[in-house]
Amino acid sequence: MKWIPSELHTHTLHSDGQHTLDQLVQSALALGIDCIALTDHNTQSGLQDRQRVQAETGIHIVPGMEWTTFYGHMLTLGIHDYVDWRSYGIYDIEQGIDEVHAQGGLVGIAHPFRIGSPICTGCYWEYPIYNWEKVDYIEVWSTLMPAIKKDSQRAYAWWTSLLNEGHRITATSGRDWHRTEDHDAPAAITYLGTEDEDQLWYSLDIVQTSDTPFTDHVELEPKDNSVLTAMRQGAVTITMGPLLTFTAHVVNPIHDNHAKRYSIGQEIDCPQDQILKLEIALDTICRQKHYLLVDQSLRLVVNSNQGILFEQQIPVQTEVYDCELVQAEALSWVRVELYGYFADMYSMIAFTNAIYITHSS
Amino acid sequence: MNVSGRIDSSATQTHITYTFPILEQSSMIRIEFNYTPKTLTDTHQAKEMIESAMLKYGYNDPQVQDWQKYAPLHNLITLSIDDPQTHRGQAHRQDPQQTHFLSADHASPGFWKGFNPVGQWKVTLSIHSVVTPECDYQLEVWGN
Repeated sequence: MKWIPSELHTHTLHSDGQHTLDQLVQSALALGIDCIALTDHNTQSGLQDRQRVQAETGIHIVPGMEWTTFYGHMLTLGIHDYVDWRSYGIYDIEQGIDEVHAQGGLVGIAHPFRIGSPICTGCYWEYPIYNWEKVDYIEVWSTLMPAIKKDSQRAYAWWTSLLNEGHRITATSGRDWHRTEDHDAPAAITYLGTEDEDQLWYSLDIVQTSDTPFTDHVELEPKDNSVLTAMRQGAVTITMGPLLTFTAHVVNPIHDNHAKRYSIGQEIDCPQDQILKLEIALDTICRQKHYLLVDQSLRLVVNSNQGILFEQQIPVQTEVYDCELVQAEALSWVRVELYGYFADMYSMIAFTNAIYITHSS
Repeated sequence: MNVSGRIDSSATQTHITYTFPILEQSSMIRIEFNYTPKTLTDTHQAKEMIESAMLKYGYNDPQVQDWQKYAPLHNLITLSIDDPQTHRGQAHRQDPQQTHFLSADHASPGFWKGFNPVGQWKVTLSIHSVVTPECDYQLEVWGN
């Protein structure tokens, strides 16, 4: 599995951002980010510069938009034609979602608990969702140093409650990047996992041009498929610094090394009375120069629909930790969390998306 | 087209669409839009509205009741354009005075460049919030 450091919520001068796409990308590259989603408010016109900027810098820019409506902000990714937010009312959001899905795109609820109108218009998510199958992801961490922000903590708890209800929704972070200043607090990184599409991710971009002289139509590229697939599958892990991932497998007493490993976002069947084993990897090397994690004892936690299953104090170093779950019958999902001091604050430092568990008899 | 209007808080979360003809091929469509006031200066009203929002959205932690961190409140109206054939974009930003243009080679930020077809055009004002007692706007569109 290859993990792509990404930032999925950005703005430029095409809406209310204070930088051009070129400036945004230079700032992203300086932070070791390989992929951004351009999600200007209610317009995709910033994507007119996309192919040039990608060719010049090597970064990948996912076409996106932030539906900045009266009752909530919704991120869309990977759609080629503008979908009009203006005609939908507070009870209609799922029709809008259907339109995005009809183009093969994804939708995510942005900063669901940010204070709303008239302070930040439409920022608080007020749309009722009748069918959670339609929501692809929730931006549970928002803005800089998200883990210490109450709105992100509320979003994280909300996401957890939805997982407990049986919904499978991907969690992401989003800087909601409008400007870059010299002494910005640290931002989280959303890592997107690609496996089958490694070749695709590293293939050269297909340069496509539209025949029409102007358009609000955006050409998708192979790398977009990698991003959308990762998001759709939940192959996503979020961190302030070190890369935290894990796999799960059913213990095989004789040939455990050959047991199939399931990765973040996947579903594993754990038959009754079998032991589930997690292999948790902390990588402190990738993007190492882009964050500061002081030497300390970190708290590694395995969380689930049954609450915390496992805790261990670990050092700041690249390592793999094993965790056996002997009573897995009641588990429907597990994820891993990392806590410690970061930027002089004690908080959650990283969390993974879930591996989902079923139990055949 | 040169229109103006006065709205109040009852217009919040509505759209006002002006549909108008462009009868001749225009190499450049220009739009001037402004609204005033931008900011609610009555601190008593601002405090009332902010505290109401803090309560509504669960920001009424008794330990943290600093309504002033959310002041001042602003009106927000955004402008979008649809030509007879397609959506041309939107300018979602706080500026109360905006100048936009659309031509085959260039367009102002938020909009797609391209030919300007003859026919019925639409400019939509999306009223995200009116917090002042009244808000006056003026919209002018012309081609050349």
